[in-house]
Amino acid sequence: MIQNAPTPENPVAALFQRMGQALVSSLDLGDLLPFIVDEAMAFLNVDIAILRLLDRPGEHLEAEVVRGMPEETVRHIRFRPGEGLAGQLLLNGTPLRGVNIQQDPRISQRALARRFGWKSFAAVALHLHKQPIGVWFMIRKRRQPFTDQDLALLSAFADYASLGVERSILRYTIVREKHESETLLQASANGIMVMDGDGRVIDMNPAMERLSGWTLREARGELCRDVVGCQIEERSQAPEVAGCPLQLSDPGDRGFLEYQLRTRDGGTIPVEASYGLIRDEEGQVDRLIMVFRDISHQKEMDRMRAQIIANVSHELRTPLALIKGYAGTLLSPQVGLDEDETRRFLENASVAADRLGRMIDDLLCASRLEMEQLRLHSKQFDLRHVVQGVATWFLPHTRGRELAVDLSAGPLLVWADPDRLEQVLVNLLTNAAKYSQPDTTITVQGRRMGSDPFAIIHVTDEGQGIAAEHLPRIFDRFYLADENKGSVGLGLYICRELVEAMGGKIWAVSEVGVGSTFSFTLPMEADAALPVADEAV
Amino acid sequence: MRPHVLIAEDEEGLLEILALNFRSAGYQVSTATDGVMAWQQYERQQPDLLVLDLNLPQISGFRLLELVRSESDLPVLILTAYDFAEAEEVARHRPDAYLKKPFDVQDLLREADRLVGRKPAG
Repeated sequence: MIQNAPTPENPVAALFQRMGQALVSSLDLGDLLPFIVDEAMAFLNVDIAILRLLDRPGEHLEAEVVRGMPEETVRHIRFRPGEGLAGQLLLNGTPLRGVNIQQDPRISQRALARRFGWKSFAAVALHLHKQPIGVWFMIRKRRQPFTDQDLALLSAFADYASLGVERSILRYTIVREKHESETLLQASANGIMVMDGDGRVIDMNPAMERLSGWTLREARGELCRDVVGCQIEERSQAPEVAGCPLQLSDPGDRGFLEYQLRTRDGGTIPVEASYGLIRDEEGQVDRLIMVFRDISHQKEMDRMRAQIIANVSHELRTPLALIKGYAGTLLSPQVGLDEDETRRFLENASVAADRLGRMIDDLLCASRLEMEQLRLHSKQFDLRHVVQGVATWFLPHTRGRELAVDLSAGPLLVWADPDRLEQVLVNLLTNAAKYSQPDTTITVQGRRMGSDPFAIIHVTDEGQGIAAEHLPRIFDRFYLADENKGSVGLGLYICRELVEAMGGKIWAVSEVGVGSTFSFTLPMEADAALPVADEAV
Repeated sequence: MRPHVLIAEDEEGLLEILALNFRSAGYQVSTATDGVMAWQQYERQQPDLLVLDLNLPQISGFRLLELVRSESDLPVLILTAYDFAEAEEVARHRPDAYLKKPFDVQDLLREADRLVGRKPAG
């Protein structure tokens, strides 16, 4: 408020000076509107005043200021636009006056008018940007009419009131927007940093504090490059992303970059950054807002994926090298092979091709499991037939190891997918042979699991065994306990997934230098009837 | 005099193929299936050429190459099943030649002949 402004002698000028000052100093509508109404009432010699404002949805006129009668008599009365004297005034905007409001045919609250002795009245609409926002009734309890000058003055008062409303709306909007952006900043999971045109830090959110290791208090006012050094990733050195937006000769107002962010403890974090520039009227950068997203997890996943692909292609190349080696040798003019050797080479090439095929099957199977696209075709069958079949098929692949099959415990009717069971057995037997020496024994044993309705199968080798630190992880995808054995680290993962999908469990017991036993269970039919009985039905 | 090749390869099938082809091409052949064995053979046999699989148990191919390089100019031919990931590493170790699996045995013999300074047979 201007304290030392001289008070004009003209009472109207003095009045509007007071109102102007109130408008400038007071931002709260709850103080400003009553002040204007009181001034107007005193000036126009009025007994009763009711100022109504349209509510936010624009559906009702609500009493905002009530003077000269108890507030509660009016508060509960609301008008829709077009309804009653007030509602009509809101819509057509033409000021009203009369000497006896009680006899006006448009009035809807005649009882109230009578009770409080309303007589002469004048009413104007409040407008904001040509839109009606409220109505203002001034009432005398006598028949003294409102003059043209009274009406003109009331309109001027109404304009002041409208200005007050506008200021209040603006303030509300600004406060709310500030609150919203504040909340956005605080709640964002991404690091957000605001800098001035010189790159000095103005603000950062909690996520940025966590990401960078700096607190806002420490960083504020520092050059951003001293706080978080942004190093451009070598790979993304395309000309358009060649550095900090503040150092670019012609940065766009929005952009996207990939950085290695240097944190307070000297570490680096790969981040994706997007920025926005706010310019002043001369087009100079006034604010730089940067949003950083930590992509280290994503990078790690990328690295692992690349590693897995490298491992897989390495493993695929090994049998391929054998096949090509055998073929090249057979074709070589310098190498003379007799018939037996030729045959052996061809068999070896065929075995290597099988190995390659199995690896590809494993990869496809794992990817189906991953996408949850693997379908089981379960049925009831005697597990012994499948075990026997796999054992017979496997015999030529044991390469000198003895294979002992023990299924003496009787029929084992399980509910499972026989093809998948076969896959599990082949994987376990292949492992047993791979990790044991020739002239040792591989044992497959199948029996009923005590009184539980499960069949249990053990595959035991006398091989090198699995170290205790690897044992808990051997069923993990792409886990390799021993990197030198031709494997992509999927076999046991597939076994576990398949066994569990069929309702069983799989585990391993092992001692280094002694051997390993892999065991898995499969649910048996609730009533383990003999298959003949089924066929008889 | 016949050139002497030491082949270090842990995949038995491939080792047999390599040995057979080198013998047929007129080489004297020594073999090793792990890194320790390869180092012992190298010291004992004084070969003219080392054919080295990178993925050897016990002492890796790279380590073996470093050991050999630290005391002789023996030509070394690397066999690798790795791709680009190991390509830089291979380049850093500067083998005299390297072949990626699967390779053609005739290419291998041609490289070997070149390294031991022998005109290809036939």
